[in-house]
Amino acid sequence: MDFSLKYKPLETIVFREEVDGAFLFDPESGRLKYMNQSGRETYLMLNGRNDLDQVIRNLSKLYPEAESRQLKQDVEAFVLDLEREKLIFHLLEKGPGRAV
Amino acid sequence: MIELTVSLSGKRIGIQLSDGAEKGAALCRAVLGRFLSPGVLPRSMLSIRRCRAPETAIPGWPKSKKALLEKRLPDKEVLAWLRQEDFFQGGFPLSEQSICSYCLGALHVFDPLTAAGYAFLPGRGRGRFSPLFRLLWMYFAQVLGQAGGCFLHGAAVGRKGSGYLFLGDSGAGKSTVAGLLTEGVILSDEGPILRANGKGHRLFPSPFHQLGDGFPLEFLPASVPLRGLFFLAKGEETYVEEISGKEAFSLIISRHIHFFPYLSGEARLLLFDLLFEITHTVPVRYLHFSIHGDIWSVLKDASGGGMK
Repeated sequence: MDFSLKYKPLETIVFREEVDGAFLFDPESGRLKYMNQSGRETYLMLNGRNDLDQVIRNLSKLYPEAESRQLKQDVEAFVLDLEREKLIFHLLEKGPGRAV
Repeated sequence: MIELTVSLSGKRIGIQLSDGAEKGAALCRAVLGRFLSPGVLPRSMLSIRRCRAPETAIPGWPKSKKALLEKRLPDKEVLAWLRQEDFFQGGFPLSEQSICSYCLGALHVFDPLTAAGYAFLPGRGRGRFSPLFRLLWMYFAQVLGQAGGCFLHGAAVGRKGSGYLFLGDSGAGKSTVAGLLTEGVILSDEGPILRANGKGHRLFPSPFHQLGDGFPLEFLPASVPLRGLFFLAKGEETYVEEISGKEAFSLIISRHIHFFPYLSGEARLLLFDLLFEITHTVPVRYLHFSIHGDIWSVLKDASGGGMK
């Protein structure tokens, strides 16, 4: 995976916080997804400004006890999962990309 | 041509039967009963007519219909086909946002921009009106969805000005619980309506139920405020159990809204907001019940009475 990529949510995706996580909802497909607390924090960093390396650095500050390799694997799996479900897309280098 | 108007949760919805579908009016009247409002002008209309094209020509039409109630069809392709076949004889009243569905052998198209529906029944055969019950329900669900309301897969009972909603899959005991709550009025034991209006979150009666002629329409309130929401579980004792708002919300969205896959994106978003708010503000519990238990006393104080 290219960790220099920046990701952001599709504009149509609805985000709703819970006490210990958050829901994502795609009204067009009716798909509902729940993220736990760390998933929520990761998702909020996918704002089009942070590349994945920056996201991992931010998360390691939040979770200093976490092993960096495991953190990287978790972020990769999380991002790929959201991308596969068409909840986020990555920006191209020279400008906004299109949804995957 | 025969036209009927039905009133559901304050919405006036029209049904127009023409072009060979007029004989379906008797079934519509039997289903809708006293929800009909003669002489009232509707705000939206379902036009039902006979389909004059072979069903095999309809894009996405299921090849095997065994045990298939309904199915989404490829919207763009069906709309193009309707235009090509000149189904509306010169005009084309549907937008590109229209939702196309198969429903028990009928083609149904709903336009969320106008809340208009068009249903094309199978051309021939004794069973050509058999889709009507489900077609009406689907259309009403789509119209209510545009107004932020829905039919829930559950039972609703009103008592002393409060409404209680019981959710469960088929066989969970919705009708049983509704029947046991003899001091209340059953709004529906299969598809009550939930909607918010100026008075808050309200439960409304629905013509979709399993009570047959025993449906006590004359005692029905126009609506009741939702005071408690319960997920049913049969058991040997009667008690309530905690469930988080998060879990309740997930369950309802994924399993308990009738025709959710057939609603527009706008309707789904409205229901998302409605149900998120409800599951985080209204008391929500699991209700384990025995037919010998005193359910009302357990419901009375769901936050404290009978909890394990």
